[in-house]
Amino acid sequence: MIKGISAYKSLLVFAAILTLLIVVPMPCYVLHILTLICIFASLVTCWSLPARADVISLGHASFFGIGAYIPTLLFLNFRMTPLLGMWVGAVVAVVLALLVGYPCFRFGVKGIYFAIATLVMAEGVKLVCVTLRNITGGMNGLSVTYMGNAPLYLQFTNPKLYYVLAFVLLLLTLYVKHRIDNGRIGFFLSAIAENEVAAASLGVEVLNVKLQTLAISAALCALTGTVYAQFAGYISPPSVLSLDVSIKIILFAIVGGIYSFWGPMFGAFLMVPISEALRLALGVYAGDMAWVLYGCLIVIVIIMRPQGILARRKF
Amino acid sequence: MLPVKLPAISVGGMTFGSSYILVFVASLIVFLLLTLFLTRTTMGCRLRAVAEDLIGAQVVGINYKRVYLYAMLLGYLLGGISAFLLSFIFPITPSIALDFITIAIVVVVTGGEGSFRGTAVASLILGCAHCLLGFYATTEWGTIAAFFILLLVLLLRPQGLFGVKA
Repeated sequence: MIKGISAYKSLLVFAAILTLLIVVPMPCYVLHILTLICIFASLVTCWSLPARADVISLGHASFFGIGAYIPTLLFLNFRMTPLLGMWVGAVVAVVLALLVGYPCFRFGVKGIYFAIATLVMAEGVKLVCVTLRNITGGMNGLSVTYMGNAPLYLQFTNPKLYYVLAFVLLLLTLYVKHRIDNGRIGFFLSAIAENEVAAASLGVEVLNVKLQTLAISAALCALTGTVYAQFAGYISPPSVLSLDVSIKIILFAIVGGIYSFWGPMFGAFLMVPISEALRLALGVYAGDMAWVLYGCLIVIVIIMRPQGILARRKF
Repeated sequence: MLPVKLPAISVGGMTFGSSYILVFVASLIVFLLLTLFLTRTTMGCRLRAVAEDLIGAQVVGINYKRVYLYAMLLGYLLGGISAFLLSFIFPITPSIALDFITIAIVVVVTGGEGSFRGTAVASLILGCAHCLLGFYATTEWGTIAAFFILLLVLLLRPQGLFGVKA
């Protein structure tokens, strides 16, 4: 891609802006929202990696949830630091992605059918988590034991450091996306999206490429999940494993523009503050009104700019 | 709840409450009416024609946008009816919809998209699996089993049990 270098530059500029935000003093609440935005932006960017090859997943909540649950469980039961636990979570997420992805891609489960297969996977993971009450706490969820300022356990008294954590993760995700988009895999993915049979006939290993991308996406999602668990301090099936999370990810991506580099992230930057503002204005219980606004927004976007606000031509 | 008291029925040692029987009969009637609508009325035939071949349907002069509208309306109508029926046997909460929608999607895909018979058979199979496992293990395992069946069907017969291969 010709624009490769400029994209790299804008990535650096973006990093600089977010770094500047660390220095600027701001209220805790704004910081909280910024952290949340970074977490969601990273999630949505992960999701958009395989979406480039029209591998639409409705089950990214399960990777996110696994990344949140496994390190937390390891921490609570064995006092293992999430710094190590996050990699265990990522490995488990990758294994799950391969378990579902391999048969699906091997037997040609595509498009809406793949979406449903992943949806079922996510709901299955959620139900298993709800069922194994004595391990995972079921619907009650888990609280991360507060240890004060313990950087080795990814716990900080200064909320700014959570922001730094989420922001570093977002940069990592964006960097991976940049490398994939402008590397060989990116071209393979575009070719697969255009015509799978033609791509295969020209020597693209469709199965491998799809699986690799899905695995990378799952691993990054799991890492995001760990950061979320540490940041929120409490996880439960509805907050990290439910279909709501998967749907939110897709909504953000579609509004921002699935096929563009900045689109998915932009979606998160636009939509997360909306939901937070609504929650402020209407209270916790009416906070779900955000979904109504999301619905209206997505209809408007689909009518006015079907490829998303920051759309780039699908090539 | 009902103005008329209906007796409970016992079959083979199992007792079915009157609301269950009512729901069962009502859903059978709805199912029959839907079959009649799809096979005996003009709009039903148009609907099936559009489902089978969009371009062919347009060639013979079917206004597919209108048909889409009717299909959506019919879907909403049936959704409302089934929600009403479900409210007899399940506790209702504002957030219950998503669970049922997931199950509905699973049933439709297992049965085969566009196949009416398939949907009926799939709902029977999945319902039985769900209830039996729910009885011998826990309800969650029942739902997990239903999901597992769907995954198997997707892998072995991507078009669904009764679907026509695209």
